[in-house]
Amino acid sequence: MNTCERLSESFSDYIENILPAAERQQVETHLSACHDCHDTVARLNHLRNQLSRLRPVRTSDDFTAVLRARIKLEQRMPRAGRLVGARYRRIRTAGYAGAALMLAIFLGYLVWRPQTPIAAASNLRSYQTQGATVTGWQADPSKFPARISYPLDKITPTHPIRSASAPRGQAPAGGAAADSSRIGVISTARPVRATFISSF
Amino acid sequence: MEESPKRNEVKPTDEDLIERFQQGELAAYEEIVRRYKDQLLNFVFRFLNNHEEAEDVVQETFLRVYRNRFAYTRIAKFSTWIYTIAGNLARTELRRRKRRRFFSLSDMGLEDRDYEISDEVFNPETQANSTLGEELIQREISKLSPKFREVIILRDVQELSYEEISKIIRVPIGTVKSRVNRARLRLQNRLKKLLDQRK
Repeated sequence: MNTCERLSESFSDYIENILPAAERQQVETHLSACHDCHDTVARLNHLRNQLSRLRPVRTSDDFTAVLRARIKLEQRMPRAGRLVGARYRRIRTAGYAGAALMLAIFLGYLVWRPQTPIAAASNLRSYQTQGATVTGWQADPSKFPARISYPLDKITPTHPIRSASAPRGQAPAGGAAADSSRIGVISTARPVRATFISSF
Repeated sequence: MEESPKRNEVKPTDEDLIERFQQGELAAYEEIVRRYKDQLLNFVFRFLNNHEEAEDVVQETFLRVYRNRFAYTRIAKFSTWIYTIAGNLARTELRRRKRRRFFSLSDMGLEDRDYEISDEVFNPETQANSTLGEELIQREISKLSPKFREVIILRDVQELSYEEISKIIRVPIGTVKSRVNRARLRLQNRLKKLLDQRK
């Protein structure tokens, strides 16, 4: 450690006039010979003056009112007061973000859910049977019996029917009966019975 | 002629006030708040470099004083006690801010943005040659590490004694002096570099 480095450890005490006389003399002797250290001490002195003169900041006008409100809240609900202020805002923001994330996941599931047999069957959502509407396949599939038969001549589809293997939005071609072993298919080839086979 | 009672009234010390507050006098607490709110805000603001966060920390400090009023005993100076609470909360806030910054890069404070605007540091029209702007000094303070930042604020801005700083941050006086010296040298070096760039 050279003299400059060693003596620089005493510069603060020197500018604050709290250095013992012997050390002070040593520093002053060095400062008279070393321009860089002399300059550094002058700057330190200037900096110290500037720091002590920094404009004070003031609390906002409602500071005391907010504090009183927090104390009142604290008195009524001992832990509630701790949630006011920045922490409360952060917790609230985190809550909103969590709720939004859950909603996004739920919506994502609704849009991109996999085409399970049940989902495929849900294409047959509603049929008119002599004035009555048969609905609710996916509303409560557990209540749906394993095998249901309806007389086909009494069933009128209210929207296009497609087979499980056909692309979404397309009604099956004439040979829909070929797929009748799969789910959700109404055979129109034989006007006797339509067989809906659930996968349960 | 009788002197007005107010003239004879001696201003109660902080320790008297907290004692009265411990006995249930809410007005004494309000007087403590009045005495310390700006003082603490100056300390915390210089430390965090954010007014809103600093106010929250000062509010929390007074709430802690309210809650833990019976934890104070007269063996310590009240100012040391309240500065210790504020300092601890400010450091906690700084750690929280770092965590938040880790998760959100967009949540950058002034202290972070400073690195991007080095060319706009000086405005010759508003700053005299040798006088550094307050904002610049504040910004350079906030770039110091927390342990240096804390002592230089307490010593040079708040003008507390080394002994009191030593009690507040719970390190020996020699360490405080050494930190103050190093903090001043670092700050001075950075400001000198900025001034040299400006020339």
